[in-house]
Amino acid sequence: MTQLSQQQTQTGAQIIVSALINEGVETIFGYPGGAILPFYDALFVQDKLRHILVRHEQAAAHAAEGYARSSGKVGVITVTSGPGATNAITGLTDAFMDSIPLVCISGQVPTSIIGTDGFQEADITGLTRSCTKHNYLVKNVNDLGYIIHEAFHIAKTGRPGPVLIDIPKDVQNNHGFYLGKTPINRPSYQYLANNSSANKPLDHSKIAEAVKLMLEAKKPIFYTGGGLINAGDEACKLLFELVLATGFPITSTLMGLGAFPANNSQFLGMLGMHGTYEANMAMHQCDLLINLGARFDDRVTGKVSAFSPNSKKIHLDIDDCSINKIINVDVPIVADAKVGLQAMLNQWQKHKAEKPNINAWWQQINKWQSIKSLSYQNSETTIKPEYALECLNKLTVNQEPFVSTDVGQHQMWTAQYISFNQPKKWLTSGGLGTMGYGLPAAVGAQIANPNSLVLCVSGDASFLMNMQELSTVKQYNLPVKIIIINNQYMGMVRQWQELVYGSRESQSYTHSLPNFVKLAESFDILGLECSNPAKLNEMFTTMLNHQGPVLFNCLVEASENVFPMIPAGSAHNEILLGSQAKQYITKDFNAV
Amino acid sequence: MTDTIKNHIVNIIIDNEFGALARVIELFSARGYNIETLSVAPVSGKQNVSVITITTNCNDKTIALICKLLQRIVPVHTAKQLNSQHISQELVLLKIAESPLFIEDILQHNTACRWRIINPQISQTQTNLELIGDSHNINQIIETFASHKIISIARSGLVAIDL
Repeated sequence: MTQLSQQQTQTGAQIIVSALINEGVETIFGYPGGAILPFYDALFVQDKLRHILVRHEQAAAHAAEGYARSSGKVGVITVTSGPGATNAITGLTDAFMDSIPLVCISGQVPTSIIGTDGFQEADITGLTRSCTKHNYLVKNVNDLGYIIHEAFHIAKTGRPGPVLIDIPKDVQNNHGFYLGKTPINRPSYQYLANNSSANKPLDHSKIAEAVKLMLEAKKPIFYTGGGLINAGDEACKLLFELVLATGFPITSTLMGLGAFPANNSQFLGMLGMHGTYEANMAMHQCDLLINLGARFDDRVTGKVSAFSPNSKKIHLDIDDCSINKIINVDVPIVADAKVGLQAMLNQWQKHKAEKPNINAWWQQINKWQSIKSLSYQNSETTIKPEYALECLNKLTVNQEPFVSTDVGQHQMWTAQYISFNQPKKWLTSGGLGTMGYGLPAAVGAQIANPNSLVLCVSGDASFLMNMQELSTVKQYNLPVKIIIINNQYMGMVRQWQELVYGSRESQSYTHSLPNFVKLAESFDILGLECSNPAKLNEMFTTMLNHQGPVLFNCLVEASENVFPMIPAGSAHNEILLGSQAKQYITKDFNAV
Repeated sequence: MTDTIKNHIVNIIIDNEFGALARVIELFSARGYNIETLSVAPVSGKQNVSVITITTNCNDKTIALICKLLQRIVPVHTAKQLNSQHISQELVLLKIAESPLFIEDILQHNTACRWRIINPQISQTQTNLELIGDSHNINQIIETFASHKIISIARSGLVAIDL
């Protein structure tokens, strides 16, 4: 702790800069404006914090998410009051849903103006209360330093999430004391320490119960989620050891892809609405389901009353609110994944001689796998989107690229056809499903990983939602490769309209798309276009060999649908393959 | 655990700070839970802590989840559902357009609630009445005044502690 003699009086703006530096922050994403000008002035006269100027505050938040997810650090954004902060709300909500650690510093009108409907005033702590893990309105400059450190502590500990600090302009200008990074004193904030069970001991009796069920299982399956990625590389390594030691099959949620290598034969692919046939059938017929860091989201469960009807269920999660929320479980374990997995692995090793024989289960799974649910009808005349993603995967898999997506059909095809063999490589908006996420997330990932290949797979509609970030890409010369899977439709909307609404394509066709090559060129970025499947490989190679950023307009078959698909409101075993599309029956028109 | 919807009482100990009560209330509205009564005040002796008592209608599974979600709010120290062994009281202040003698006459045999008349000045036309008791009994007494003119009424909502 810094001694009192080292106290310095600084302006609030300087305190923000000092506190961010003391938190180890190197990069912030932001956009200046009236109420945060004092901070931007303090930023101007220092050289430790790098500021990335985005072109819209929503993009700042997504870029910070991409930065955080690809680096494991806390993402930081700075925005101004009013519209600056309200623009960031979608990104904050996205981070809240996907448990991404962010700190958002927003300028606010001076304290004397708050409540008078001042220019660019918005009640941002009120507006963000339900989409942040916590938020603050700082009224006294002497509290500012501590609050920033507490905000980082809350953002990254326990189940991570976004925290907002609203700082009025006069608080940024006033002089105050900053004691440096002092210990956090917040007794009411109860969380499970990441990577340690120091503050809340693990319930070892639950671990023993879980392993007992694993030893008795005939048809077990691991179902893992984004909690593994958040728990870090070591947790993923322990997962790998446990899965290999048990010999059990494993499936992953959209958020969890990469926690376990996709190229391992025990991996059944993603589960859920557009998951593989084998993953969903195994979930339905298993006798033991081991959920590690996933939350029984509705994309995964389908019809809740018919979800995995004959299984015992183990659920390990850092957030006990996720346990017994949707699906009742037999063995709840509240723990950080690394701590829980280490204990499970230790317990398993003690009993490994009793390892169950699950050969019959694997034989059944192999039969499901032989259906090849991700196969598709290729074409010599139009590019099938599945083919485009397969092609991209073959060309880049050895480089272990970071891959961001937007939301819709292209997102599902990317999840299905790109192999994620390492954690933190996959950046997608899972919970909120935010179109416009992909490009800024790729910006954040490329800033955090300047020497790595970063791909952004987007759709024509999603891309238009944050395409202004091409300007950011150019300014910082970020060599991201943006591939637009262009079917001229909001593809997933069109797919649902075809399957559920009698092909009435209400407002899902995008008239007047821009010429994407010329659009790229207007930003002084290389634009490429391909509609010929025979040329695609060569064109992708040209894209990958180009040193700078590329916008690749990949014109694909417009009528292609994403399969397999569990119809909304149906159970896992009602999954349909592409060849069975005509059998689609809507059982629940309210299901989304 | 049953699916029966019934009344539950939750006591929350929370730091006194900007926005703390709003966080609790918004949790209920954001997730579609219902607040029947709400009472909140700082607790003397612990300067910076308030106790919030909320009554809500839901099943056992939901009340367990509500308590966990409340516990997740950063300034919340504890959020506990009261079991069947608890004491609970409500305070009601009523201004009724009747004379004190008339009111005394109606309430003289009542033992279910504590009551007293607080008239700073003698009046034959108006009575200020204080009632303290459990919600059910208080409701019954208020019912007995249904045919009389109640000029104003204020009700604290339930406060409760475990036995």
